Amino acid sequence: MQVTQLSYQFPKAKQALFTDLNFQLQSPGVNFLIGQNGVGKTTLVDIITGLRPATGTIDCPQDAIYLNQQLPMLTSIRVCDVAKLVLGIERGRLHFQLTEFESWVDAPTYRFLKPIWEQHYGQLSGGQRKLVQLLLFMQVDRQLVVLDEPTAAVDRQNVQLLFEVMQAHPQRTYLMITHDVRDIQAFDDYRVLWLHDRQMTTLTKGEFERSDNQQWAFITAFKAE
Amino acid sequence: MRKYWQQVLIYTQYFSKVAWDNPGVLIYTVCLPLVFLILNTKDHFFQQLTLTQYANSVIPFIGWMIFTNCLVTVASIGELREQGYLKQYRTLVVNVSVLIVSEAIVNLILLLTTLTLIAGLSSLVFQLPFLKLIGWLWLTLGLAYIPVICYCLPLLAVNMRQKTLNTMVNAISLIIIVGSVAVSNLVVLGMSNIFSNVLSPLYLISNLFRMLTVGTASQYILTYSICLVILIIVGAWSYRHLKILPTEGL
Repeated sequence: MQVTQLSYQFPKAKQALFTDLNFQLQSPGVNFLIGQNGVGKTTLVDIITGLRPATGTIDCPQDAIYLNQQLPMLTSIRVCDVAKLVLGIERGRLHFQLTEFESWVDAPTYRFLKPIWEQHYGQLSGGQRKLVQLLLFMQVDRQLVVLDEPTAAVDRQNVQLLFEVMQAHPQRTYLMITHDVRDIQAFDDYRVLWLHDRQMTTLTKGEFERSDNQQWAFITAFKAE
Repeated sequence: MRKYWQQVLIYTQYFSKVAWDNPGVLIYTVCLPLVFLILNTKDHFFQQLTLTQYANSVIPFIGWMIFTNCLVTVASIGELREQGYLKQYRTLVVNVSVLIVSEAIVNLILLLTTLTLIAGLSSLVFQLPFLKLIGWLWLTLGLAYIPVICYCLPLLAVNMRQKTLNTMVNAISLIIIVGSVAVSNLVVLGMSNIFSNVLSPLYLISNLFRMLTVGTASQYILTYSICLVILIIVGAWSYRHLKILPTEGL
């Protein structure tokens, strides 16, 4: 999965947000997109998933699954209703039972969802609500999975659960926006895409771990957090 | 195509659950038009109305009810967009029209229920045949539903915040009702006037009912067909320019 000479300018902006971005995703594998607030990470992800027209070549599957930073859901909806929607669509099934659900999903997801299966969204904490959607969408079979700050507002134990689910599907390519170095450190192998000054710097795991110089002050600060 | 309709069915089931989950709101949505109908037509209660009188006195109100319900349904998709829902859930379905069609089906079921209640009330207080009336009302809705939904779709082709969206819904419904009443007071518009049928869903729905009941179908069918084609083009254009990203960004 490769992006070549990507340029983008907001319709009313005077200056381009990106100019001739070139980068490659580790595919399959885990890719982290980092950068300062407002640098254009979500916009870049919108472009990759085909939501914003840009110039350049994007060699990525357009049927990627995308997960928002946060998504308000009706408090009256039950966890099983969301599961029946997401997996019903994925499996082409109008009705299914928890036993069938168990055979379709990975073990960590089932372990998390079973005790709260009948609960309403309103009865769950903010972190649990987020995790319900994250884990269900992770059961949807797509080559590319894009996650926009999935670990924000989720406790580290549940973040670990999310990463277990990601590792249960190693054939996929993940592109995750994050501001938390612990997310990166939780993986054995990864690629870091650092978006800065309208350019992209790609770092392997070794390069990211070794990077510590004044030119890369953001990376140093990011790692120190 | 099978996959598409399967997804529509699953989403219709989901949106129905959302609607049923709040019975108070559901009863309010279905029964409020009845209250308005009673308030607007109480002067004619327990008088035997002819179909022409019914078409002139009651149908414009039903037309307004159908139109505002369609407008609110389309606006609810815009609200989902502003919450970031479209951006995420479009990656799950074949295409975004699955969500629009499913919402429209749920609204159609609610409208059919309301029309059944209206037919019951009308047969009681205006001494009209219930089964025939329900047939005419349902058929009118069946013929008007797609063009009216298409009429409302441009709302989704424009970027607007949730508050602006709500304001637009109120403004459009007011403009249509006030404009339609004002124009009909100033000039006599024939049933076959294409502009009035395209520009005002109230005219379109009223004329469809007249065509089915008191008018001559052959005189209006061509006008209806032209309006249907024009409004489907409007709907298709709007869908092609559908905004998926929230205006405020998520």
